[in-house]
Amino acid sequence: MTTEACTITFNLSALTATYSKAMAKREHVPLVCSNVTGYTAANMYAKLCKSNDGEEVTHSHFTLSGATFVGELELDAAGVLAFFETANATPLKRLRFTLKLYANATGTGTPIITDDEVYIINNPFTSAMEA
Amino acid sequence: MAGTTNLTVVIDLTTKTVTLTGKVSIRENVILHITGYGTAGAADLHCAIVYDDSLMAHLTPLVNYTTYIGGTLSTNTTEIVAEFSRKSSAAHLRMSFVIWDTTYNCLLVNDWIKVYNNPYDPSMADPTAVDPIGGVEYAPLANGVTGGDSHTHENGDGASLSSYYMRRTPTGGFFRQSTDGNDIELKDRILGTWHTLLLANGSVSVGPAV
Repeated sequence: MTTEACTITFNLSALTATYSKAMAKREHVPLVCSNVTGYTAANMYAKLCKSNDGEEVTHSHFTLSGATFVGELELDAAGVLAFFETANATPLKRLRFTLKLYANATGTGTPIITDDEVYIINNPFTSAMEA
Repeated sequence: MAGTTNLTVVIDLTTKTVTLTGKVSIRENVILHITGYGTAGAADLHCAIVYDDSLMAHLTPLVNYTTYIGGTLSTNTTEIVAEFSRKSSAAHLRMSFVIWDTTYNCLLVNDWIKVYNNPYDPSMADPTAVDPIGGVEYAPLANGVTGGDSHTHENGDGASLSSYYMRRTPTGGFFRQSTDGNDIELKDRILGTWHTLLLANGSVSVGPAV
């Protein structure tokens, strides 16, 4: 069986980002870069930031996989959870984040793709629910 | 004995929402009939009702049937019954209905479910504690190294630690572990011979070439 998590696809030719479905806190979201001609996997850097102050909450590097670059955004990163905590989010609350893609390995300078409308759904799971 | 009710669950994976047909009360066995789960595997899934950050009801694994997945979710738990303590017999609470894929760290559903009170009848079975999520670790906190950074293991996944990270002789090094693993050996920088490092009676010395 396979994951039903959202896949984010960056088209490096059109410089667009597409989302296959909604994303939720604590998910591991696959990232794919397509049309990668002219780019190097090791130099790509996806950065997820808080919408209010732009602070990075998690990021991903990429590796070459066939004709694409692949990465993974871990939405269980402490920064993501803390943002929900700070917002005192209700169980079904969505919070807005900013996702940026850089063509340098440090995630600095001007991003080549910026999407201001990335919403992440709350996830009522807590570690206290585990045995 | 607990009553039985049927709940039809149609998942919308795109929005992580669900359409529920059926009315769920406490102290019941809820027979789930779930469709719209995509390529997720029934054995990877946990179905739960959550309220105020606590598990109220929990079922895992789910079972594959020909055209749907399902199972029986017990709402006869001490946790959910306690939430209705001192509430009117017609009361209901809005709780979270969730389906998690713990193998792939994915949330399939997070939506509201109304759970109704069930006036107690002496013939009903006593509630039991809800089963926690066990045997897995769902979406553990990312490590603190770089907050979710992904890395390729040097020399590939599964690289032998003894071969690459605790090698007997570091490249260009002048010390190594002895063959039996009990001693440290030093390399004579002029002669290039290896000698065992010895500490005896408070004095350090080296043994003959090995």
